[in-house]
Amino acid sequence: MEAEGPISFDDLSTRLRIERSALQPMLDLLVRKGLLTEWTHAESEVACSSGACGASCSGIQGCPFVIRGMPRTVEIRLRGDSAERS
Amino acid sequence: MTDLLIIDYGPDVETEITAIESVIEAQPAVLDRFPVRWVALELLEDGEDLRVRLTDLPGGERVVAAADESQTRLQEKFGNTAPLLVPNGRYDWINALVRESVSHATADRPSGSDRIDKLVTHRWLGLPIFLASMWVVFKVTVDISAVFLDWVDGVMGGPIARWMAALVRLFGLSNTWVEGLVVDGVVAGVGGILVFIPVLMALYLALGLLEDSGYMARAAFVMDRIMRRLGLQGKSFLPMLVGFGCTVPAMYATRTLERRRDRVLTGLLVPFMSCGARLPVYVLMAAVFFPRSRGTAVFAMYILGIVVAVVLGFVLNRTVFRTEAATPLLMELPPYRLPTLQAVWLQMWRRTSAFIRDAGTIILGTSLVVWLLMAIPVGGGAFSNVEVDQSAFGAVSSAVAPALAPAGFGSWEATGALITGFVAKEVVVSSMSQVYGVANDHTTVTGTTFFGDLAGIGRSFLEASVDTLKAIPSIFGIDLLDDPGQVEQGSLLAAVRKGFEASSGGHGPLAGLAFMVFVLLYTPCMAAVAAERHELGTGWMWTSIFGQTALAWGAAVLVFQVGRLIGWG
Repeated sequence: MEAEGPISFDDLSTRLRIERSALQPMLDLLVRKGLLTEWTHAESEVACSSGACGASCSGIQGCPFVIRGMPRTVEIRLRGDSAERS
Repeated sequence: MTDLLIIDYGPDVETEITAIESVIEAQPAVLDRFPVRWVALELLEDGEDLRVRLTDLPGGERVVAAADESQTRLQEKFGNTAPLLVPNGRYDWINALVRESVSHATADRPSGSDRIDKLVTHRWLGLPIFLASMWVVFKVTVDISAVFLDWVDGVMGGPIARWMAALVRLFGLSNTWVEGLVVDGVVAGVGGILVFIPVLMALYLALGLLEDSGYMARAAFVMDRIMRRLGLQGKSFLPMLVGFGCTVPAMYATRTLERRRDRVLTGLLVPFMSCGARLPVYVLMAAVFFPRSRGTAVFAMYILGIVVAVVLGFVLNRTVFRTEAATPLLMELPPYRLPTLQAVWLQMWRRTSAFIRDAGTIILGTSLVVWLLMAIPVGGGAFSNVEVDQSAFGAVSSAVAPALAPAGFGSWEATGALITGFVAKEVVVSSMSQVYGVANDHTTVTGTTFFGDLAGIGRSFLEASVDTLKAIPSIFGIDLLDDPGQVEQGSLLAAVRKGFEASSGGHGPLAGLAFMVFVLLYTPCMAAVAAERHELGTGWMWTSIFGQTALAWGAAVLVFQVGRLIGWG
């Protein structure tokens, strides 16, 4: 993956000439094996419950910026890449 | 046991499979228990379960050791992609089989969603399309809801203030500090921020429609490209996005980033995403000084914040923080769909009711404190019976005001409002409502009755509804309203305009713009500062406070002075 920006599942399916229905389980397998990192958007939801200020924050249930339909996102960071927490 | 299906994994993997198989065949306990080739493949894929089971069998450890050696050889040859060799081989085989076996009756045509995404997520067009859609959101939010903003302002400052004053009179507390507390503290303070309910409702409605349609997922896709250009990790865009709602959770969301340098860099940039609390300030100033292009003026502030973050991020990334290249992201974009109006409406009400509820706590509390400071005399006068500029509030504000004179808003009123903004940015508006003291003007109106006021509220609501419909064509540049620049005398807008004109030497709009820029850039509220200290450390917290305040002052002064030089505003 030498993409210069994000790539959609459909785009990847086209570029690799793999059926979309075959690509999904492939990615699931790689995420399960820890070879790819899937974002859990719950992290930003947890952050929202940490507190807010003022009246304009409507909390996690109401925030229009914690997108409920957030796309499934996978970070392509292979095992061995320097990703240790510092 | 005979293998019914043999997949060819390529010469390198097959060589290692053969090596492991030869060890297995020398271990009868393993050979009798499991298929040979399966054991070799499972161990090459790190089958933890099988490893445990093999170590319980005689000779099993030799098999595991052989598999480890094979993995090492593959790792040396293929590096990080070694773990993918076996899954890749399997899926390559599956894909080849599918291509051979499956035929499509009609050629695959891109779906409607795909066709839209080709444009919306285009490498060059994606960002302008996103900006244009956000501009429409702000135009709809600010320009169309402005009519109702004026209506709520009229109701709060008129009938509501009168009724509260009458209630106070009923208890014989007229002309006491209680009347001041109720009318100048509660009504002016809380009412000053409740007038923005129509704006927030419109904003939540517009964003809800975009979210429900599936477009916001594309926005995240486009934002990621920008983040990568800044040198930020793709995950940084999550805190940035949350920052448009509130800086506090955005700051906490930085902990999802693995590297400290990414967390600090993102944390320093998050405050420049205009949080929801700043919106009432922008809307108020835009209504006063840019009545014909309120939506555009507010939109410009959001864009300016993003531009400042981009530039600062670019500079910091090449100097203080040398971050690594961002890792690529794969995003699943859901298909577009027609928004469900019921769901959008429900979300809008939930979000708005949360705002009203919080206004009754945070804003109310701060308004009472501001009223108290305005009631405490400094150098003469009685409690609650003192000119505001002679009060404790006025004294502190007046001491700081000269620093802001070069930016055109060096008045104690504007300065005091900015100081209270440290509690929460919306408080800037409620403080302005209090310091300009407009609520008092309406409480002395005579000749009205309670039912007369009710009828007036109903009549004005209908007029506002009609005017709102007339305002819709303004999105397309068609202006059907009466002069939108006309400001009712005695209103908060008129008082603010007068104050800024006076402090800027007649350059009110320029000072108003400088004020908006200052609000955009100066230190975030104290809750956000506390979150900064928690996540980034005390050193970076102070850097952010002083850095942002200095940047805000510099930018505001630049806007005002350069604007004056070129004869604008």
